Amino acid sequence: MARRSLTGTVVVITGGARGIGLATAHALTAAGARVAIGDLDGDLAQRAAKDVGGEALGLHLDVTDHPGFTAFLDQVERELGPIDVLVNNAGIMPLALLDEESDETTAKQIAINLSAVIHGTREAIRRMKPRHSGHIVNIASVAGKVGTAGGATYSATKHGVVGLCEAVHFELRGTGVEISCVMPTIVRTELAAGLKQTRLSSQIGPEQVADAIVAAVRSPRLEVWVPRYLGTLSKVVRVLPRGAGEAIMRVGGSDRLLASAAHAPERAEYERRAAASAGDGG
Amino acid sequence: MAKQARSLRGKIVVITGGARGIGRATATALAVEGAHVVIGDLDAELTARAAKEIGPDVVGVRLDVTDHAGFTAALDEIERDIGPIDILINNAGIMPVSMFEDETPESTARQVAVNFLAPLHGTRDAIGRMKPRRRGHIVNVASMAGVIPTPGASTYSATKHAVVGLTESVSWELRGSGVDISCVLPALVNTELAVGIQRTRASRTIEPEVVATEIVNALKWPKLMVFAPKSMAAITKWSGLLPRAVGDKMMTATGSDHLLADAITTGERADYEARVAASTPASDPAHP
Repeated sequence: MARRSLTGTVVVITGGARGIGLATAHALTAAGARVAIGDLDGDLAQRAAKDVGGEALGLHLDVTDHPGFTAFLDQVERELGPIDVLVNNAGIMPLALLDEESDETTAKQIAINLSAVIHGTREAIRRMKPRHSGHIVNIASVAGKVGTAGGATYSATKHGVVGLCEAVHFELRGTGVEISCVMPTIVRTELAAGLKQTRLSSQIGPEQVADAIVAAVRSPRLEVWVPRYLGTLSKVVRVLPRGAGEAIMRVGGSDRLLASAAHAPERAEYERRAAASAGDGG
Repeated sequence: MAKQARSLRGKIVVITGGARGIGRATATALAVEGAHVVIGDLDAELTARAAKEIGPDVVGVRLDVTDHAGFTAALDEIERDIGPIDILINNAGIMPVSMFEDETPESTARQVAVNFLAPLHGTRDAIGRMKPRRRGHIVNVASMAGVIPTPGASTYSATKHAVVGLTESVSWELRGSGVDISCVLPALVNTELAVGIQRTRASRTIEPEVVATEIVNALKWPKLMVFAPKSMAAITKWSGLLPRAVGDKMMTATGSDHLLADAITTGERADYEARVAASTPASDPAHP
């Protein structure tokens, strides 16, 4: 399949003022796209847009406010034109053992990491399907494929996003609309503050995820693992007996990775911000 | 597996959504094993009647799993009246079928509340009770739709994937605690939930009793992933090795790619869809 040009395409990125979202905004702008950054922190979104350059737009966006999310997409279409690519990137990862997590923290993760992605995906399909073109990129995580102690709700919401993308992918066949599910390992952003590097979890930079997203938009495919070898690894681990797979997790240190960071002082600031994020779940 | 089977005699078991389908079949199987079974279901009258029909010692309580405070209060009451809960089976679930873009926000919210958030709450609540006692078993009934693509039920599939991820994560957290957790992945089961869905080569429906048997076995010999029928385990495992294009072709060749989508407009589902749409008073903003 010929590589698709990104010149002049309109791209929306939720949670685009920081981390993976911001790196993706830079990479897509460099590839010629016109980018709209939505973020809970409207000022930061505007600053990020200015920093990204081009015609980039920075707007306040609370993805858990579904009518507000829809209105935001309407505004982008008014200002930049029909949306070609929607990157559902906004996400939070508060860490705790499940029995120590509060109901509010659970609700917030489900609202931001899953329900908002469902809403964004549906909104985008309704806009893109009549035009027979468009691409929805949902940022999940490797935690959407394997369970993680200390991040059970997070992992559950990311599994949900993976399941959503897989199912919607089949519904979209022949419509001209594409969907991709991005599964990065631990990325050096604020979200991963306080997490140790283990043998199986060397961290990557947000730029690496951004590059993978650009490549996936150019040549659409459903599963986007970052780094790529994790896709192969996950397939191999799946056919091993469960005991062997678990042994790999233990030897690699992956079984305690998140749980051991739950109370790390380096995470305090991120955990506070994540706890204050979003409205009340919408 | 060589380990001796755990006895279920006298064990106190709570089953959500226990008045029908898989829940009811499981209640029946566990009553036969000598367990003290409590079924919770949304419809009080139906629940009382089902309890009486299943067995003389089976208790039926009204339960809306999306009302978390009410869910916890019901478990408190059971522990007060009968004793410490040994086994919680989070079984209540709904599957409205539609193309993803046609689904209403209310239907999405209801599925997330019943299929995902409620078992999460139940799991957390049960851990709080069981961990100090260093024993207990939590069983979350997910679905094969929690591990394979399910067009026509995308939100359902997302919620069931979420339950799989939740259960797998919690299994790591519970290591060494004495508390077990299992995730049940049934294929399409012959219950009201599957009404109007055509049988295809890859999707013969199974009877709820098959799932009940697998749940009983998983309680006797604890294991994390419980497939029903068992053959699904190997299919799931090895199909993962196929290149995506081949997997996609298999879905198409077996009709699995439009299995649920085809059922959207069948009149046979009307009753089920209507009941499901009215199923969660606590999560429905229109009925606080």
